[in-house]
Amino acid sequence: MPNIVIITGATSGIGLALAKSYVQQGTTVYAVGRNFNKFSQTFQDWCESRGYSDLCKWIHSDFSSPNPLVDVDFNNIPQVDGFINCAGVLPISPLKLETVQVIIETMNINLLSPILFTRGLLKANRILKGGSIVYLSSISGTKIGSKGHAVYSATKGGINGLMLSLANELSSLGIRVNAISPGTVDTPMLEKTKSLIGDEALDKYLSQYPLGAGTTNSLIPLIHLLIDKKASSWITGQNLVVDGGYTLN
Amino acid sequence: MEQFITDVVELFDEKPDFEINENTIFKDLSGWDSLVSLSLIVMVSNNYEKSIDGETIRNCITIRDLFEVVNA
Repeated sequence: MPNIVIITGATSGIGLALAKSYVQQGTTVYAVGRNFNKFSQTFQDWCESRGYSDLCKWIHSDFSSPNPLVDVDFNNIPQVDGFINCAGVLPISPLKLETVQVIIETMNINLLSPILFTRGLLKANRILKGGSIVYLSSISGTKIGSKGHAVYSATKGGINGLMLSLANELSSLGIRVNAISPGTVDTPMLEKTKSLIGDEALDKYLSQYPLGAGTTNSLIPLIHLLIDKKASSWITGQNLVVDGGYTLN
Repeated sequence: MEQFITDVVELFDEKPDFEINENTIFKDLSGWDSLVSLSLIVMVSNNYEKSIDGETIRNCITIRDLFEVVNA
């Protein structure tokens, strides 16, 4: 069990579920986010009401900004066992209609800021030897290329490239670097997709998953496993597809 | 209405070689598919600051039907 982990995107979706799962097992979580009020409402209050206040920490970093590290003092963060990047946005639009602003913001949140944040952690030697980095990727951009997902796919393909090189670079420190590529699971991203394409089209899409629609909870144990140095000591540079068999077809 | 028709026609890679008017059944136009449907949702959001979804498009038949939803 890790003592301390850092999780980006910890105020919603998979990141929030993961953060809750860690404090429940006694791991200190540094939640990275841009909105303290949202952090307070979604995670801090939840921790306080259950007696986990001491395990719940906050790092302010606006991943949508071109300079996400302006408020981050990496020397004030303790050395950690794991860094899990869950921050991400999913704009859905054909590329030719996507606005430049949305493209830049998506690149910032999904790719550039995770690179910069990882660099900051490494420069300040904040990840312990034998530690683990996990990037939440997607089957979009790594296995499939859905219509309307061009920018999102570009960022997730980029994240997997980052993961591969970094796995090699950090091997001498015994730091493992892996990615998890889920299919569609029950997060706020799914709600946004539903509001765009409608219930009927979404149900039709989800029916294409051989093992049925995915849940956030189906991903959490796998992330735990990749962070756990005993369970995955010899796994690095891997992209684990977790999609209920969707890409089989 | 003229501008709206122009905006809708612009979504098709293959431009129709006949006149499109408010009574045109847009789903019968060559090239209509899920991507054009998605493009329509995005175009309406970008150009008309209105949210429509797939169900709304399914319920519309002519370009006038769409126009009325967008301007409701």
